[in-house]
Amino acid sequence: MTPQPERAFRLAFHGLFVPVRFTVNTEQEAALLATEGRTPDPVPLLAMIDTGSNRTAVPPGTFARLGVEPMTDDRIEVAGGQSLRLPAYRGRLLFAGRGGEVVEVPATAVEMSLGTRLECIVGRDTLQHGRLAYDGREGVCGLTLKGVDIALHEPPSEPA
Amino acid sequence: MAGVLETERRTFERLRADLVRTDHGKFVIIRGEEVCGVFSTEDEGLADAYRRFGPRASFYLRRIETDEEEVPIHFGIFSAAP
Repeated sequence: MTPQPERAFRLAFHGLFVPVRFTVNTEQEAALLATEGRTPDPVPLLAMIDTGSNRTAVPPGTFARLGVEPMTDDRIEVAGGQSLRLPAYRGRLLFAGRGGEVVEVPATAVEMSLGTRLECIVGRDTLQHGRLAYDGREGVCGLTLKGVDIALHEPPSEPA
Repeated sequence: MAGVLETERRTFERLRADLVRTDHGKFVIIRGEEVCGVFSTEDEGLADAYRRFGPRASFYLRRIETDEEEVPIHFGIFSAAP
């Protein structure tokens, strides 16, 4: 299924963003419901779709907002050839379909501060579950995950 | 976040060669210095860990692979090299 172009705007100017919610994994959700009778509210984030990234990044404090702890770690290589291990949590990204559907994609996320204008990255680990169409000449794009057209973020008004 | 899961990570590194030899490609759950189980899928490991240790338990989940097989994080906007 080819994603239907959803937005016509200056992609080169705004980049491609999508509203998501990050939440606990299915297994932990079931365990929490069985023992505590409730689950944490998903954390709403505005994510940049980045085909140059192979992982998901969420802002520092996201795990604490969900009341969960990291369960694994991931290696990142930094300047000088050194590498660090960042704590990571295997959760889920929830996307809103254009028809109101909710699409869940498993995502192992690391917490990382991405600056003041960017809070979350959705990378190829998520995009492997769907199709991303990008037409730079027409300035349109579309994202389909698990067969559902995803509602993309409408950018703010462009400067005059 | 330095030190989070550090004991578990060291345990994994100490046992990695043996785990790779016996259970390559599977997933291991570690608590402290103890291997709690090896599972065919990540989901199976998670379900078992929450069932045994509770929904807010701390544990370490890791795919069993060699150091060379491990694909590091690349964030395009940060990792582009000149």
